[in-house]
Amino acid sequence: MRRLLPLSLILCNATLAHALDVCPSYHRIHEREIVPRIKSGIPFKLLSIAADDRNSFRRIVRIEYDLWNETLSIEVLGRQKSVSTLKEASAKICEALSLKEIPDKQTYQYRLMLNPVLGEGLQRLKEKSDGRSGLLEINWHRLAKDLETEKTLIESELM
Amino acid sequence: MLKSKRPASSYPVMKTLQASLAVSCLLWIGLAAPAPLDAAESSQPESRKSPYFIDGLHCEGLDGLETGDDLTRAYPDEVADMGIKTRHQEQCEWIFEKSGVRKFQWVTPEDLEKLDFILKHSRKFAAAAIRIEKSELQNHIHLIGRFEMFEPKTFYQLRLSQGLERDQTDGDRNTSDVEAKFHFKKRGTINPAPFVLGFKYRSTDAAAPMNHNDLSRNGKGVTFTSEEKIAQSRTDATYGAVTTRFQQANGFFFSFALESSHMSGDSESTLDTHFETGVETQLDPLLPSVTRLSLLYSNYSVEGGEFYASKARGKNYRSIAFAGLAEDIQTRWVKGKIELYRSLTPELHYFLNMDLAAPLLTYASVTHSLGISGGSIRGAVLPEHRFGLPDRTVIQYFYQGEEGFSLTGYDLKVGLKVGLATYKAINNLDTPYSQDQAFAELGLKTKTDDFETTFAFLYGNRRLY
Repeated sequence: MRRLLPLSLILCNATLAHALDVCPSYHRIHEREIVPRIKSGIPFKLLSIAADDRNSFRRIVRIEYDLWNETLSIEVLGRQKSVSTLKEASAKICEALSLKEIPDKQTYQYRLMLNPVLGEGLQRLKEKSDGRSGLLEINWHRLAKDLETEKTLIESELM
Repeated sequence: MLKSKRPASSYPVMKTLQASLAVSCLLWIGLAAPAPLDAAESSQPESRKSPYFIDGLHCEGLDGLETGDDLTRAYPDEVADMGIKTRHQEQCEWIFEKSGVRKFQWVTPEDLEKLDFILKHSRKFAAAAIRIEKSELQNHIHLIGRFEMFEPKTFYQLRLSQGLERDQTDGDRNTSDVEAKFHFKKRGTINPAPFVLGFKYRSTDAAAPMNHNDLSRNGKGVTFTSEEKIAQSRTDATYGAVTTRFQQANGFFFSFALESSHMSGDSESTLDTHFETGVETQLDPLLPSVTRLSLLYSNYSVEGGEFYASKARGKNYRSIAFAGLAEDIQTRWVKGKIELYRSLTPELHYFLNMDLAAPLLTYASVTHSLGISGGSIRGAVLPEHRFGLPDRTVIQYFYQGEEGFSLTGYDLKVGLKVGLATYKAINNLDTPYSQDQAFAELGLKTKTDDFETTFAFLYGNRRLY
């Protein structure tokens, strides 16, 4: 019984405060996709979005690199902003992309998108109207799958 | 460290080449109109966060656009090589200028982010990316663009349509339509082709064709346009047209059209010759909406018939010039065009076309039970006034839905269009002539990078347009 107690506590905690861990997937693409973007000196955005049939959870992260100071500004739009070096960029960015507010442990369709076209506009729309306005109903599930973007960096099912 | 690659223009031949060849070489690419970044903001570095000063603009991947064959034929290799490099550099700076950035200008990271977005999403390039590199001084940069251009291809458009319209009073009508267009050296889906050649053919017959007096309820004469004559079913009528259009990358265009119709039953023939020239501007590089200003000259002649308008009576030809303002709208939510042409001659003579469609189900689901994956609702208003004769107004509304499927490697779309239309001729305000119509059209369409083909079958009651 004592042996089972830590396991049950872990399961209980996971159910109450589940965070979608995107870091394993993110680390695989960081060197190949993100580092060249950072070194180009042009600011860019990443949209981290997880959706199922009923809900969607999103986070938009803006990354800006200072060529002279060689520091990285990582801003989660609408939330916090931090400064990082290029060496610790992978950990800092994946932490910023993690969706900590997901309530239940279940399977989500996850996409990480580079420079999404409508990311911020949709975020505002969702916050203001909850996606509903009379006749029209925003199809978030479809958006999570088909949103126009410069490149889809990660597309998978995550738990 | 990058240095400016612009060669010194101390060679006399280069000075002439720069001036005379800059425009012609840009024919190869169709680029967006300027969307300048805020010049006032950009010129105030103190008030901006981390501004960069652009010491040089450089491009990679433009080599395929300009082979410089004319230069290599006419000049020694060293001179020709410098001429080609000069052209590339001018193209490069022109591309950045059209996207709002010039050399020796202050920009912020946000400006660069916007520039990156514009270049990537303008759909003018197969791929585009920019980067910055440090220059000699603090916060001075070189801006480098890497572009992949679309290959020039001939794009073919073909539409075949068959119509069957039934009316118990006026009789049945069969209509066949063929329309073909060839876009030569078109790059991608959005850059206009330098030359477009088009053909139209229509034949129609009707058991009981209408005549001019059917539209005249107050005794005043009515002149039909060629389109109307064909559309309202003259016996054994045929219509043919050849259209050409020359388009430059800087927006100037010239088009010529020759339209001819022949009504066997009435022994009447018409010939309409159009010349139109003007300029097109894309105000927002991210939206392929085009504003067009033009001058149109039309010469319309009739053989075996007559004009009914007071000033044109007795003549068998009519020449008239128009000033035109048009807007092609291509946004995410509305697609279509608005055209207004006003006669430069004293008599009232104008026409206005509005044809707008709102696509549905792109990112929003609408409560309906048709079960079609994509659709649009189109409203078209086509009022016009010709030769001092009554206004004709056509209003159409229809729902168009499309469902895609794949067959032998081609992506096909089967479409259904159902709609209502009203044709109204206001010859007499008390009793305007009007006819309502209901129709349905079944279509099959396929589109690739090289061609677009549409087959359609229309069924409805008799229509007058």
